[in-house]
Parts: sequence; structure tokens; C-alpha cells
Amino acid sequence: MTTREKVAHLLRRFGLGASQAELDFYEKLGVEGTIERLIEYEKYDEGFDVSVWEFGVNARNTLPILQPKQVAMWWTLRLLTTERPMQEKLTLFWHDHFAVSASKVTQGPAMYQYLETLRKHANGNFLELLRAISKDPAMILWLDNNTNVRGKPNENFAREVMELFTMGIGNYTEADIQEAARAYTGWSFARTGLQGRRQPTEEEVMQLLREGKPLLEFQFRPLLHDNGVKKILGNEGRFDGDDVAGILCGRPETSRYITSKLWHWFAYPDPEERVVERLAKVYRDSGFDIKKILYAIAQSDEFWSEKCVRKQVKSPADFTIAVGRSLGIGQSLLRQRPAESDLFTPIPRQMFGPLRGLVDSMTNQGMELLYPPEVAGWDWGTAWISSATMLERIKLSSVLFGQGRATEFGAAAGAAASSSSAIESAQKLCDLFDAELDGARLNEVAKAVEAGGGASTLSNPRSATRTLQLATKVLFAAPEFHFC
Amino acid sequence: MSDQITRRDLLRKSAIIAIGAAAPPWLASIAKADVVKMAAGRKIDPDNILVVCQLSGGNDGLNTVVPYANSAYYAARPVLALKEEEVIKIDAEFGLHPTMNGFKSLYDEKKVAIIQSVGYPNPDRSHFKSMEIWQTANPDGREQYGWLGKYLDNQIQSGSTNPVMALGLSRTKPDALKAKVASVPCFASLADIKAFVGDPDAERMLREVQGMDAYGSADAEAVRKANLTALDAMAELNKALDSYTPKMPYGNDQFGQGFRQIAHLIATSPKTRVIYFAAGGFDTHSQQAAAHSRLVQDFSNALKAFMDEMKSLGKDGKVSVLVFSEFGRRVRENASAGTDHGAGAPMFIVGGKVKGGMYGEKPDLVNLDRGDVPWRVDFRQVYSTVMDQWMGGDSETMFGKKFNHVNIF
Repeated sequence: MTTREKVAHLLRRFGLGASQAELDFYEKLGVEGTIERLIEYEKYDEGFDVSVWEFGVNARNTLPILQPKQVAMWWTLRLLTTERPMQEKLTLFWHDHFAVSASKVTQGPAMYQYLETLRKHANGNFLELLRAISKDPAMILWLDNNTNVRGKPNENFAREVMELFTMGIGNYTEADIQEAARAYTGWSFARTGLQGRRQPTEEEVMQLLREGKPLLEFQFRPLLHDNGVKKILGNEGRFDGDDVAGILCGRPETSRYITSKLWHWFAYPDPEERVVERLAKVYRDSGFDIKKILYAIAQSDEFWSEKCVRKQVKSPADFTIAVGRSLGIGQSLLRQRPAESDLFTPIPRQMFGPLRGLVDSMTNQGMELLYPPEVAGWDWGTAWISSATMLERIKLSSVLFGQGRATEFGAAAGAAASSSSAIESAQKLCDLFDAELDGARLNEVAKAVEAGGGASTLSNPRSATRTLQLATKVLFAAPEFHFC
Repeated sequence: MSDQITRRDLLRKSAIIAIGAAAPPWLASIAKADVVKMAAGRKIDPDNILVVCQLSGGNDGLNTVVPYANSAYYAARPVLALKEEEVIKIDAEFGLHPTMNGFKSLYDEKKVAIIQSVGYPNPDRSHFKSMEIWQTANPDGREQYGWLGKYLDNQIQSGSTNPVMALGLSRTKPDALKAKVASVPCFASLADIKAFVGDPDAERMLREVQGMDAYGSADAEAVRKANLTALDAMAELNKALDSYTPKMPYGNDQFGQGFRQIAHLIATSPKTRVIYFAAGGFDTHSQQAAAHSRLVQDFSNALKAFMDEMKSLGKDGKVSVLVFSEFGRRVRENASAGTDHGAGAPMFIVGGKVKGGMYGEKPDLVNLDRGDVPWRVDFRQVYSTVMDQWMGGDSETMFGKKFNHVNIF
């Protein structure tokens, strides 16, 4: 593999697709430099400063009213434009792992806060992440821990923290769950600064927004907490939730479960025993340092093997966001935002259409951001594939280039694919979208360019969209295009 | 039970199997499942069709099915009340909105069940929340999947499914169709299906880019097969759509166009059993009279044309249309000659096999629920009836408990 090919592989797995602009940028850093830049993203500017509240501003209200779907659109914009692609790829992973759905947590601000909790710790320390998400208001509401009180424990969170978040099913007893539930009693949430005493005034909410503080916060209710001795997995003590998190993170089952799942997300399913051993050791030796695990993944021979490269079924986000980033949709949308925007400047209405189009497309492909289908998150791999979901993927061509759509995307793509022959334009389109097609399939895309009006139509934004719609439809229908 | 299979069933069974041999795999699988259903002695026709028509925004039930003999109605609505001499009377107490002649003639044909005072416990007056409740059939509002999605998932479990079994006529997928396994294609219009397949050249390219041979990798092969199935289904649908043109007079409004396309689908896509359609504009907070009049007129005319089309195709006994809105409207009109969000409202089930008439309880305009018509029939009773007696589903599994049926079939 050339450096450029290696960087592309990294961008597909540790990022949000290998757009030409990103490839040009990261290739100069070399493979090691790219790995460092992607994993240690906090050292670099994200290049994204849009506040989620801009999506909730409503002319009729002084206070932004934020719906979960608006948070999903805002996140989509962030996915499209971030210069820290690994941060979002990890946030998506943790959103799937610590799955909370807005179907129950219907409050947009709580869902936003939850995403920020995941994002803050995404490449940090797993124990800190686990402790933070256990105290996140959306998670507490999602798994009913606000009803988990002394004398009347609710085991929902205690069960999932063992079954789904740390050790995996079969590694604990029902008694462990019952005891752990007691440790989490009295863990609830309240309006920030008010301890549940009253509703905040409008001015108090505005103040929190201006200061960038969350509207909800974790609340420990000592009177509802069971302070007695608990026996959990062979440990005994007056444990609280933080202690349980510590016990669970230290379990050997957790070291294998978490690292295998990370490997599955970034490389391939069912890792070999040697891979699991290697990663689990990194997890333990580093004291649960996620960055170290990510480095170990990137530095594994298996990650660079034929079994891995371009063999993973793209998730709806992998597919949709990568296409959007290749076309520069995010940047073109950001250009419509007023230069002096603050968090009370409404996002221009015309920005919603394309973002909604992409959110809807991902939804119809089976991945509705902020609405994972169950506590266990989404099923990956071939579970993404059905005739109806593939239909939606192919239909993305008309979401992007269909009638009434912004021709701006067409102008950029047309310019990138413009050439003197259909086959050359087809190849350029494949490069634009990071597609690797064999000769016969490339030829079909070339035929589509020809049928759409020919390569000469691509240089003119007006005639380009029709050609692009047909050519990308054929390209998106190519089975190879659905692997990254 | 096998002794319940009639000679006709057997003939039909063998015919289906004969089709199955040459049919694409998904076609064969539905044929097989249909046989299983008949073999199990089910009386429900496996080709019954359900059309769901959603009136988004909260339809004013009281000005749709008007309680013209009720003085409380006139007291609450000095501006908006429809006069006794205006309404199209259906009995001594109720009449339809004056524009609903088409609907009335269907009612006279005994094809319309009007179920009054439908709602659910602790009515929610938020559009978003109440719509979610209706679509997921769970008033707790904590449900991942839609009620039709659950039905489709069950059908998949029993092996009976195909890519066009359910279709949404909408740009985005309604919550009602959300499912764990089943995935329902949604198109804003039938023109989108045509556009998807494209001309013969485009279709050929979409097929050829799949390659002639199976892939070595199982995952790539899964993608290829899914693509080919989708193309087969859409191409078949596309071709079938050309074989028929709806003949009744449909308006150019949303209902006219919607029901025209539904008729077109039913006439040409024998494998489609669930069609979901939503029409908006019912959130009439101000100057309601003209807007609402137009909406119910369009609805009534379109439904009449649709049912006539079904009759002309000999399919009116195969189709049931379920009409609902997320809530009714406040009994008392507001100061802007409009009405605010309410609770209980009438639902309609329309079809050739429906026992026409009035069901449920007449709206109680005296003992109001926070100013609204109190619910007397749980909408899940209606869903359960439709599921168990029309679609061959299992409502108890779907809704977690048994609801009393409304005797409309």
C-alpha cells in the first residue's frame, strides 16, 4: 500500500471517509503523523463553532426550544464539517455502546448534553467515561435510575451497566445486579443549580446558555441512597456507583469485551484471540486509556491486512457522511450562516433542507441518530443491508442531485469530475467518492455519465446535476461502494 | 386444521406453488407463507389490504361528524357551529359536514364505520407526542417501533414478506412503520418510483453494475442480493404501474393525488398489503371554517373516487381504509374563529367488507375532559380489530394486552 492508500484506510476507519481534501492534507503528515493527528485530536482545532442552540431558536420564543431532531441535524452538520473526524467517529461508537434514545428522553437539551458527555470522554479514560455517563441525566432517565431508591431498588441501570456497558452477559449473577442497584440508589438529576426545588426562570436558563453550562445536572440524593454494605463480584463494602464502576472496569471480562467491541467497530468482527489478548493487556496496563487502545489497533498488523481493508460494511453514517464530506456539503452550508452568529442567531432556514435530507436518508437506511433501536444500540455489519435500506442508499443520488436540490453540490462535484471522456469522468467520480471499482463496473458508471449527457455536461453546474444524479445512482448501486 | 382446507383452497394452493417455481425468491416466499396461513385454517384473506390515512394536525371531529341535535355544540361554537339545515344528516342526531357528499354516499352504501369518541387515557395535546402515541400505539409514549412495523416484523418471522409488502407514500418514514427488522420503502410519490428505476438504459446499468457472478465475500454478496431484490421489486412495480391508469375523477389536492396513487398501487401491485398516507393542514387554530371545509371536502371526494375505483376493479371487498387524526379539537371555539387542540374524535374505517354504521359513544359535550371531548373508545381497540379481523395479525402480542374489538367487520 502507498502512503496515500494507508492514509485513506485510516480516514475510512478512524475518520468519516477519505475525501480528496482530507487525503491531500493527511498524506503530507505520513502514516504515523496521521494516526497521531486523528487519535490525539484535542491538540488540534475542530474547525466547528456552531452552537446547537442556533438550531432551536424560534422567532416566537425568546428561549430556544430544542427538539431531539434538531440536535440530530446539528450533529450531522458537525459530522460533515469537523476537522477532528475521529472525535465524531468515537462519539458515534459510544452513542451506540451507551445507547440512549430520544424516543424516551424526549428533551433535546438532555440528548445534546448526553452527546457532549460522550464526546468529552470519547478518547479519554474508560473508567472516567463510565462514571460520567452513569451520572448523565439522559442516561439516568433512560434506564430509570431516577426511580432507583433505597428500599425500592430499580435494577435497570445496574443490569445494563454489567450486561451492555462493561463485562457482557453471563459474567455476573442476579445477586450482583441487585447489590449494584443498591449502590446506584439516590443517583438522580435536577435542573442545574436548583436541586429540584423549582422550575428555573427564563433569565436563569438564558444565563446557563450564555455560560455554556448544561441545563440539567447530576443530583445525589443522600436520603434516597442505600449506604449499607454491598457484595458485588466478590468485593464487599459501602459501595456507591463510582465504586461499582471501578470494580467493573477492573474485571478481566471488561478488558476483553470493550476492546473486542472497539476492534469490531474500527477493524472487523470476531477478532482473533491474539488480537483480543493484546488489546486487553493494553487496556489493563494503561489503566483503561482509550487512546492507548486506539494506537494499539492502528499499529496491529491485522488492521492493515487484506481481511480488514475495504471489507467493513459501511454503516448508514459511514455511507452518508462520507458522501457529504466528499461533496463539501457542510462547508457550503456553513457559508450560508451569518458571519457574526451567536447562540441566539437562528440558523438560516435554507440550511435545514439539506441537513434534514441527510438525517432522513440515514434514518431510512436504518440509523436514526439519537434514536438507537434498543438499549443494545444498533446491529452492525450485514444487519445494515436489506433491499429497502439499499434502495435508500441508491436514492441518496436524488437527495443530492434530484430536482429542486441545491445545484451547489452539483457544481463542486461536476468540477471535480469534469474531463474530456466519460470513462475519465467516471474514474474522477470514483476518486471523489473514494470508490474502488473494477473495470467492468467503472464502465457502467461511464455509461451513466454518457447517458446523462456526457462528460462535457459536468463543467456546467446546470447541466451537471442530471448527469451526476444518474452517474452517482449507478455508483451507489455498485456493491463495492458499500464497504469501507 | 387440514380438514378446513376447501377444494378451492387446494386449487389455489397448487396454483401458487406453480407460480412459486418460476418466481423470484421473495415472491415464492410470500406464496409459501400464504399457503401456510390457509393450511392453518385462517379465515382471513391473505391479500386483504390496509390503507392508513393520517389527518395531521388534529382534525375537528365535531365539525366533521356534527352533533346537530346537541345544544351544547351550538352554545360552545357561536361562529363555527354548522347549522342543522346545512349538515348532511345521517341520523336523528348526527350529520356530516356539508361538503361531504361523497363520504355520505359511501356511508349509504354501508361501507363506512364511524367510530365516535376515540382516544386514549391521559390525552396528550402536543401534536408531536400525540402523533407518536397513535403511531406507536402506546400512550406511555415509550415505544421503539410503530404498530404497523410490529405487524410487519411478525410477518417476517412467519416468512411472509416481500420488499413492497408495505409502502409509505411520504418522503420520510412515519413512526408507525418503524420496525426492528422490517424495512419499508417510502416514496414521496409514484413518480419517485419511476425515477428510481429510470429508463430501460438506466435500469440495465443498475443491474449490470451488480456484476454477473456472485461475490466471493459473503458480505458483498449480501449487498448484491439486496440490490437485485430491490431492483426486481421496483422494476416490477414500475412496469406494473404502466399497466393501469386510475379512471375516477380525483382532485389535484393532496387527498385527490394521494388516493389516486393509492388506487394506482393497489390496482397494479398485488403484493402490497399496507399503504401509509398522510395529509396535513388540520391544525386550524384560526379562521377555521373555510380551511376545514376545503380539507374535509377534498378528503370526502378523494375517498369516494378511490372506493369507486376499487369497486370497478372488483377490489372494494379487499380494501379497508383506516382514517385517524392525532386528536380532535377543543369543544369551545377560540377568539380567532378557530379551535385549539382537543382529545377524543371520530375515526373512520371504510371498505367493502366493513359493516357500515355508527360505533363507539356519541361525544359527551357536557362532561368534558379539560374542555375536550372525553375518549370512550381506546384507539387500540380499533387497531386490534383491524389487526385481528382484517390483517391476520396478533394484536395481543403487538400491544401487550387484549383490547375489546369494535364489531365493524
